[in-house]
Amino acid sequence: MEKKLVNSSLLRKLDGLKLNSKMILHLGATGDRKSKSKGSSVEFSDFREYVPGDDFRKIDWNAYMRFEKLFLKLFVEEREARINIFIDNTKSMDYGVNNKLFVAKQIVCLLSYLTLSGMDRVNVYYLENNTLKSSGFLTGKNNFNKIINVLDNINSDNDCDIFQEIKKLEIKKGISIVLTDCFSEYRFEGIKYLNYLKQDLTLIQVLDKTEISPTFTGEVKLVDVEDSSKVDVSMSKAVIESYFHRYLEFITEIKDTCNKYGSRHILISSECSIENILFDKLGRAGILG
Amino acid sequence: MGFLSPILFIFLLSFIPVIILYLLKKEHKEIEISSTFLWEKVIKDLEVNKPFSRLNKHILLLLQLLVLLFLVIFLTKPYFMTDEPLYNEVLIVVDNSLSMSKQSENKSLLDLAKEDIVKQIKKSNNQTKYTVITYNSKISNLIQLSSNKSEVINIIKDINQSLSHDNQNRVESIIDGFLQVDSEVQVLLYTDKELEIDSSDIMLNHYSSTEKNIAISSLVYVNVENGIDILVTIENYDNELVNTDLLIYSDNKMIDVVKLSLKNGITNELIKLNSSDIKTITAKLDIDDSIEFDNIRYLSIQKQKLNKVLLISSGNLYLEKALSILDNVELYKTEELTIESGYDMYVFDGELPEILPSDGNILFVNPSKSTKYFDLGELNSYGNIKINNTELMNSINENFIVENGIEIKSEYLNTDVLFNDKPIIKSGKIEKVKVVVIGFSIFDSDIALKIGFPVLISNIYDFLLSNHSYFNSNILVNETVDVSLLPTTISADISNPKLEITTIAPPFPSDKYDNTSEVGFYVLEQKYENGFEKTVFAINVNTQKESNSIKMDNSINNVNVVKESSEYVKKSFKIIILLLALLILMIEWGVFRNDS
Repeated sequence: MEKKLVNSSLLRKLDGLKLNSKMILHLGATGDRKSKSKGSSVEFSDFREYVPGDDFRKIDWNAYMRFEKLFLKLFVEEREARINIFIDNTKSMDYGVNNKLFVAKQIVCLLSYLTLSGMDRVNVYYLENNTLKSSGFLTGKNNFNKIINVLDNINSDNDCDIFQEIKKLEIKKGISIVLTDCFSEYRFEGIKYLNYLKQDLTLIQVLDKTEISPTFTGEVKLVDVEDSSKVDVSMSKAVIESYFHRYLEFITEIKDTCNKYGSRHILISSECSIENILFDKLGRAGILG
Repeated sequence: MGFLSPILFIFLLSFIPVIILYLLKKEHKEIEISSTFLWEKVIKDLEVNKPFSRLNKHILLLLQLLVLLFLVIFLTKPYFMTDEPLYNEVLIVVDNSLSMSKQSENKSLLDLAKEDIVKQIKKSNNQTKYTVITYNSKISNLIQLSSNKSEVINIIKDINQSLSHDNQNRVESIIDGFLQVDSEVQVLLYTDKELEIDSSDIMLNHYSSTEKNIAISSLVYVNVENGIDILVTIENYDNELVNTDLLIYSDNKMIDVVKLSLKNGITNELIKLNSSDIKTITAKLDIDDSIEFDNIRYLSIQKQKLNKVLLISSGNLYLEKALSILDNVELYKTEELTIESGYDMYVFDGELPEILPSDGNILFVNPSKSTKYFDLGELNSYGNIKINNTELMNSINENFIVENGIEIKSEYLNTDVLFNDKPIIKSGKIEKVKVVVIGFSIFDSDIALKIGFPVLISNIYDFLLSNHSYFNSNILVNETVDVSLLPTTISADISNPKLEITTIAPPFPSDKYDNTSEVGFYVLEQKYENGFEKTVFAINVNTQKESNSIKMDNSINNVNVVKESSEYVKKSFKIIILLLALLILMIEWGVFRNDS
């Protein structure tokens, strides 16, 4: 029986939460998210003198009566956020007893729910036939079913690299969340490119426990599920130590690169429960607020 | 460095199956992983960080091959040459038989050997324990497991020259015995002879002298009318012609000198002596050669003595005929059981007197009753005869049939023939009297019709009256003399050429005499109630074994002294190799545990 991505009780728990972004968005359609722009919401922000060309509909006529000068009444414009979620559905993600891709789908599902609940717009990007496809921007809770459908139809029959595909993408300023295991030569270029696109990037790295701490013994031939390349290894204490050293270096480099570009990096083991991931890992990282 | 058993390097071929097994075992278990991204870096790291990382992949194989190599080297018995013996235990075996008295540069071979041994001991370490054995026909253990160098050196210096021949078989078995008990003991053997022993375990110090040697190998006599003829056999072991004088002494007086010109090989010289009163003859070569002691030979002249034999029988012609044809027998016959004393041998056929004679040895045939020498058992009829291999039954090969035979019981007599597994002929010595008992009548058997019958009677006669004839035979140094005393003897002593007297009886039966280390004349003195009798016998060296070794050595080399071993000695280090193998095995275990 196929496992459900989310259950209703978990969704109920999410009702009090929303996505938290440090970015104050300047662009986008009207929404629930306060922007730096002065707009047409009911929340007062400031006054300034009228200059030709301003929208005279915003002139505060009461102030003109008192000061005989034209002033414009400024309001904070509330805009909706544009959330881009990238899910790496290559073969390397479709691995592990606690399948990494399934865990990633769960996270995408919940983040999408939060986005839609907060009247923000979400676009889920995924690989299909070795090209990057997207669900298109969706808004409103009633579109949550569409997200579920997209996620259900995602498979891992892709040999391409998600970061390479991201580099072909042109998107507007917004929030980007990438779920991947980062086993890619182009991971740094991908991070850099999303930063170039002015994305508030959160990289959620999902790894299996055998990738964090291998438990193989004896003489083994490790076969890559993506390209079937093989590596002969005589497992020994020295080899395990060397792997651990390489693993730490791998994680540190990604974290440092993210920090460098003002992005977040969250490491998640596929062994963790979705509640733990949501309330502990993502909560502590400031993704949820 | 060398190897005592290099042939065992053939075991290195076992590398092949080990490598094949390793390669077969080395098959990797395939495991699918999400990405080899990190693992490829790990492998590169290991190869870069450790120059021998490729080697490390096969470290277990390398260690296994090393263990195997060391084990094979251990089997090949590796050694290195050292001038400093480092043995823990040394067995010094010194041949001090007659041939070691050969002279070489005014020193005997034994003295040269002793000097070498002392040198060897002096340069050895203080922990070495020495056991010293000398061998001639007897083996003597002079000291055992002593680490006191000065004590061992003194004992070596005190080794005396023996005039005896050597006993190679015994010394070989003794060395084998030592090596079986402790294979690490170093055996140093000093001899002038070739030994049939595995020399890989012993250090053979071989000595030889090429100086000429001539020996009197035989001296015999024969009684003739008006005197005796003596035949002297002289052997020249050298290829050169040797001129010398042969001096003949009788009772310590020179009676003849013969000029000899000796070619290589044997020369026989017959000398006629016109005197019937000669007791001893000494033949001596007047020559200065390699071995002094084989230039002289001693011979005792035994008086012809007639043995008085009394046959008490009611007309047993078979016995009478068989006894009458024996040499030196004066046969008396009687049917009366009342007999007088004064005979050397009594033959009772059937009935026995109340009191048996005590002054002669006795043959009982079909005894009618038990005596103090034996008891009669049950009567057996028809059955199997089994002849034992005894002196009495010597040369009697054919079986015979007995119709009725009575069992002879005596724990002091030896069994010669069994009839239905019961003793029927027994012989032996009880106190002073030699006794032979035949438990059946000659007429109840076909033995008298067999060729072996006169031989049996002759054997019985030799057994019962061999006391004097024994000394006619050639007795060699260190041989044991089993003197057969007369039944009337009260006591008996033997004096050797150094006039040391040894009492051999009482008690009776007499002890065997073994103080025969000197060559020359020995005197046996038997005391009776009414007098005494002196018998002279001679002891000579064994020229056959000891004098002719030079002949063999000449064909080998022409140097004066040859020592096969050099100053350098072989020191085995196979134990170190074995320990190394064990160490590597432990390392391999550690690597294996670490890897897994």
